[in-house]
Amino acid sequence: MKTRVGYFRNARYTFKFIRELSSFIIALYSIYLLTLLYYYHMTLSDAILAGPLQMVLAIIALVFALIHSISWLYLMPRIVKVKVGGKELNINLVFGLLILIFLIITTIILVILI
Amino acid sequence: MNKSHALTWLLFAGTATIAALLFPAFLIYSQIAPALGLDIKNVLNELSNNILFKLIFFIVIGSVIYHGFYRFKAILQEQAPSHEGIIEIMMIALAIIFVLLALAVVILL
Amino acid sequence: MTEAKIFVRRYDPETKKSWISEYNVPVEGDTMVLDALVYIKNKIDRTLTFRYSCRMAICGSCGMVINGRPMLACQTKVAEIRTPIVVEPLYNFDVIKDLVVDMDVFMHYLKEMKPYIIRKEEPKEIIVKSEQQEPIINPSACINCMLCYAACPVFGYDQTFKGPAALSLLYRYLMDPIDQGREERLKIANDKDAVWKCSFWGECSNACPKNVDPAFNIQRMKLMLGLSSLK
Repeated sequence: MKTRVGYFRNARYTFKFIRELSSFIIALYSIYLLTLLYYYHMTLSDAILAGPLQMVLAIIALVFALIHSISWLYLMPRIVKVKVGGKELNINLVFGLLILIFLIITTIILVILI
Repeated sequence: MNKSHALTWLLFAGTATIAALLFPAFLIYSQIAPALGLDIKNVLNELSNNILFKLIFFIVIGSVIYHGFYRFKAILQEQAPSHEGIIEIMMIALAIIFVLLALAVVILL
Repeated sequence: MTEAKIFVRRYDPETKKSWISEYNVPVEGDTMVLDALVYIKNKIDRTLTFRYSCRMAICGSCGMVINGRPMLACQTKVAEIRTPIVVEPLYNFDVIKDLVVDMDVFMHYLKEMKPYIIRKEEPKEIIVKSEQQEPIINPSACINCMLCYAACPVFGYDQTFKGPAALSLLYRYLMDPIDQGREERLKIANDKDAVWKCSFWGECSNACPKNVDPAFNIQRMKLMLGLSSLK
C-alpha cells in the first residue's frame, strides 16, 4: 500500500503544476503565432489582433507568461546566491531587485515600441 | 562524462531568463497599446522589416519554445519513466524543429 | 486537560486491508503528536505501530504525514495544528504496517552517493578554515527523516529518482573541503536518475524540519555540471 504525492495534492501543488505547464502553454501560443505569420501570411499585428479569438489567446498567454516569469524570478536567487562585498544578499531583496529589473526592461521595451 | 543533459539544461535555464524578462513585455504591448488608442499596426509592420527587431523577436520566441518543450518533456518523463529516453529525444527534437521554424518565419517576416 | 480526536490510517500487511482508527487522547498545551501516539499505544490500542526514538527531532524516525503534511511527530504540537488530527504513513513509500514504511529504497540511494570522505592520499594533518566548512553546514543537518521524499511529486511518480536527501548528501560531500572525489561525485550527480530528474518543485525544502535546502543543493549541482560541460 502506498499513497503517492501527485501534482494535485493540494492548492499549492496545483498552482506549482500550473506554473510548470504554463511554459508549455506559452510555447504553444508562440507556435500558433508563427503559424499565423507563416501559413496564413498574416502581418505581425494581425496575428496578435486579428480577431477576438486572437486577442483572448494573447491575454491567456500573457497571464501564463506573467505567472511563469514572476515565479522564475522568485526561484532564481535560490539557485544563484548573490554576494556583494563577500556578504550574501537576502533572497527576498534579490527577488525585489529582479522584479525591478523586469519592470524596467518591460517599460523600456514599451517606450521604444510606443 | 555524458554532457547532453547538462547542455540541454543550461540552454533551458538560459532561455528561462530571456523568456521571463522579455516575452511578457511583448504581450503587454500588444494588449495595452490598442487599449490606449495607439495604432500598433504600423509600428509592428515597420518593425517587422528591422533586423534588430527580428533578431530579438527570434531570440524571445525561440527561448519560449525551447523552454516550454523542455519543461513539458520533464512532465511526460515523470508520467512515463520507462520511456524517458524516447521522450527526451522526441521533445528536444521537436523543440529544435520549432525553433528553426521560428527562424525561418522571422527571416521571411 | 482537554481531549483531542486523532484519526490514524492503519494497515495490516497480512490481510492487506487499510482502515482509519479513531482515538480520543487527553492533551495539554505542550503535548506532541508523538506523545499522543505513545499514549494510544500504551493505554488504548497496543496494536498501533509506528517508529520513534529520540523524541527531539534528531533521529528522524518519527516522520509521518500529519494533516496532509509530512512532519516529525515529535516536533508537532497538538495544540498548534487543526483538529481532528489525521495521521498517515509517509507518502510515496510502501507501507509495512500502520505508520511504518519501507525505507530500503531510500537507504539504497543514500549508499549510492558514497557518503564518506574520499581521499587520494592521507596527510598527517588537514587544517580546515571555518569559511571552507560553511557550504557543508546546512546539508550536514539532514537527519534522514524522508519527509522530503514524501513531499516530492517527482519521486511520487518515478521512484528511480534518487531523491532530495540523497542528492543533498552528495552535494555535502562535493562541497567538503577535504574530499578528493569530485570527479566521481559529479559522475554520480550526472546520472539520468540523479539531478536531471529534479523539476525544482521546492516542496522538499518546504518539508525539511532541519531547514536543509535540498532543492537549492540540487540546482547548484545542475549549475556545476552545466558550466563544466562548456569546458
